[in-house]
Amino acid sequence: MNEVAQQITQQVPDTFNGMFIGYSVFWIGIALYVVFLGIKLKHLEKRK
Amino acid sequence: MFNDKLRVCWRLFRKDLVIEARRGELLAMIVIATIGLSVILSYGAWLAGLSENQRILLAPALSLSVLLITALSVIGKFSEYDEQSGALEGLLMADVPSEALYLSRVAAIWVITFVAALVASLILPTLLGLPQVAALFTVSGIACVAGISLGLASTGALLASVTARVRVGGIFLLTLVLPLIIPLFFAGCEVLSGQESGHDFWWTVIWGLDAIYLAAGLWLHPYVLVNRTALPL
Amino acid sequence: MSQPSIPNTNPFKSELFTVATVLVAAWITYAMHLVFTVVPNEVTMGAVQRIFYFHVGSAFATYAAAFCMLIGSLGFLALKQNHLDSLQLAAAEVGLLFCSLVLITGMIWGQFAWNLAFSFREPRLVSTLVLWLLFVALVALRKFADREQAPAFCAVLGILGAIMVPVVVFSVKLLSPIAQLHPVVVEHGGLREATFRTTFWVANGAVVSMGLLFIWIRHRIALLEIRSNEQNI
Repeated sequence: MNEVAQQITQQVPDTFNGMFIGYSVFWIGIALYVVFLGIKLKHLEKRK
Repeated sequence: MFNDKLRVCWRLFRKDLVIEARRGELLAMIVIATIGLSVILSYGAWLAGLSENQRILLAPALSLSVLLITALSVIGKFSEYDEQSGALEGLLMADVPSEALYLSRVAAIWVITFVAALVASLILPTLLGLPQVAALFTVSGIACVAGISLGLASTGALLASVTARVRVGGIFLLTLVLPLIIPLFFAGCEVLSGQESGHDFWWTVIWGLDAIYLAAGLWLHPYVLVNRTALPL
Repeated sequence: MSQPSIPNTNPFKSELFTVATVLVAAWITYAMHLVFTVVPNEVTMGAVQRIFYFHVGSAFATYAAAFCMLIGSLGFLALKQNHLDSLQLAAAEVGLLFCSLVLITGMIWGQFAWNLAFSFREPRLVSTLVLWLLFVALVALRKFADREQAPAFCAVLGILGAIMVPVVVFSVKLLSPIAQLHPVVVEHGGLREATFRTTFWVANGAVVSMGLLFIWIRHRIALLEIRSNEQNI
């Protein structure tokens, strides 16, 4: 990390919770869609 | 050729209005629903203890939302009548041009929606204790309501042909038209709220969007009508 | 009417799919590494600003999906081919996924950074909400319409919606009175720190490529569904 970046990192508000919830929601959304695609494919293979 | 299409369009429009005048169902449904919704919404505004200024600012958005909800839940019925009675099938077999079908339907829905819009614009402000701000009493207010009703009619007429053949029926029209009509709704609120700044821009948005909706409707209507049989897979 | 041959294979078993998935997964892993271990915290918002990288990527993926949706809709109305309808279906579904993610992550970011999850004074929030309503309408129409009629109906609504996207984006920017809440980092030449910039573009590319991969897979599954329906008839 360079000097500018180190200065920026100092004394910032603690919003870690927001970041954690945000990324959790993002990946849960993606995972649910992948599961939905998997279920669709499984149904199709059963019908064959 | 063009005159023939216009003549057909005029006859269809007259037929729709005469049938509606005899039945009186759609207009009555819109007006009754408008009054009901206005009562609930204005009660909420009084309950919140809003000042007169706040109520003046709230009136356009509330009136337009009452119009949107009531008109869109009713105009889908128009196409359902034609679909169920077989009238549309007959018109298509008689080679009636799609443009004439679309424009006559837009015109009929526009008239009914415009009347309902004027009623909505009078009832809600009155219940809010502000009859003086009703759009009915100014030329620009009437023009704005006419513009919004035309947008509603042009998207509604196109997509009502879709919902007439969808399982859930006419109530689905609200879901389909709402995302398309929201910019028009914003422009209407801006114009009716009476703020002077940027008025020209919002008028351009209203009539520009109406032109886009009408052009898109004329272009896309044949695809909605013609595709009445299954595609070969 | 010529129809392309529909591959009767599980898309998850093709080599191209495996290579593409591995590449996208590696790209995302690298983006996550940059987001969580390389870039520093933003000075006023803290850690929550790191949502920005995947939030903006999701917005780009949504617009890419809207573009694919337009291509699929126009193509289907012109050529009446199943694979173009499947592209439209896939793009609308993936568009709904990423648009939901943009809205939710944006609200979480807004809540933690400015204590305000949603505001109608913020143009981009409103335009994303309208786009989301449109994707919902498209997915619902696909579900409710008959199998034979859904392609043409969805293509018509898809085109109308795609026409509205730029109109909505530009018109809501002029809503009055605008108090810009949304950061306009990129347009104003922000992200001066090199690590911010690199991470921004790597994360955007990763999320957009994931969106395109989803569209591809969903497209293949939709084609398989059509084939399966054909065989069952």
